[in-house]
Amino acid sequence: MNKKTFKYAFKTCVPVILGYLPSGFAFGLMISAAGCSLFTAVIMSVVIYTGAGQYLAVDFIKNNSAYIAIAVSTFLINSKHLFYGLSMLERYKGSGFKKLYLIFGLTDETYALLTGVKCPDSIDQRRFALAVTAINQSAWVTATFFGALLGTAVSFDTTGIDFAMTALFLVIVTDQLKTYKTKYPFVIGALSALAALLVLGRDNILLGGAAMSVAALILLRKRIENDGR
Amino acid sequence: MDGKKLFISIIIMSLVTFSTRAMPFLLFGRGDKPAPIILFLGKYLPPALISVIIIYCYKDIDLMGAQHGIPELLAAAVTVGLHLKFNNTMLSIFAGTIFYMLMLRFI
Repeated sequence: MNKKTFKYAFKTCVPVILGYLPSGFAFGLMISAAGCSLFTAVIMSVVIYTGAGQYLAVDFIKNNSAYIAIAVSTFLINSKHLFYGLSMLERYKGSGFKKLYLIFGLTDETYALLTGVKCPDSIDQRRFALAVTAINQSAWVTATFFGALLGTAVSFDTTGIDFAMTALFLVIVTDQLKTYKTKYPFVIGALSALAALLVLGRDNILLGGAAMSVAALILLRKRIENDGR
Repeated sequence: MDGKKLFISIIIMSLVTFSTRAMPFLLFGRGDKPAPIILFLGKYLPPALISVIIIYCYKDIDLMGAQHGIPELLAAAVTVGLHLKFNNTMLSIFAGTIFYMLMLRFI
């Protein structure tokens, strides 16, 4: 990695770093409030590396959730990633360990930077992508470390800190309500979750709600596509 | 959650997260086009799922309890209100969370 590529990548990453520092820090605080060690917190950010999914993991750990519930919920919350790769097929062509890392590190923000920022011709595209991915994850892991360090070293009352997760999702849904022309998906999701809560109980809101959402979306596909145009 | 279960859970979350990111490369790496229904779900499933997750976040509220879920709902209003006004993700999340933590302690 030459200096020029790294410098340009770092400059590109600044907005994401500024976002990852507080949210990684909040994850560190939450996961240590759930009783996990500093080591566990950092390992999670190294090997899982997904914002919303790791916030949800705090809840799984607190509730001692079943493996299958963890697997399916993690899959669903990350299902948007299924589509990020589609626009990276060409760019990430080739093979090897570097490609695996590029795919592993394809978070919302990394995807947004790599598709949104024009990389100068004088810089190697692949090295640039690798640098951006690694810099972003470093910020996430570092922030997790300090959050968990503070959470485990200083014993202060963190009751309510887990509202950060709810707040994150509220912010996401507010942004989505502005971008999506059709509001059907939101109504479908909320009603499916409520139906799952009433019929299947509190432990099955995510699974039941997601399954019903998929079914309802497919049933109302024509209407949603017309409304979304 | 005990140590062994935590360890296995982290491995599961890691593998599942990676698989969602790797899937398009495995399925469409040779130039096959995804089916329209997949593209449709790709576009409209995320907002539906976020709505599901928000209901999930509120599952522990006891409407009949001492606080009737008022702190949770007010903190949500603060978070969304700030976000609509300033459009700054971190400000909205932190201010909403601190507001919530203060409410739990002083109300």
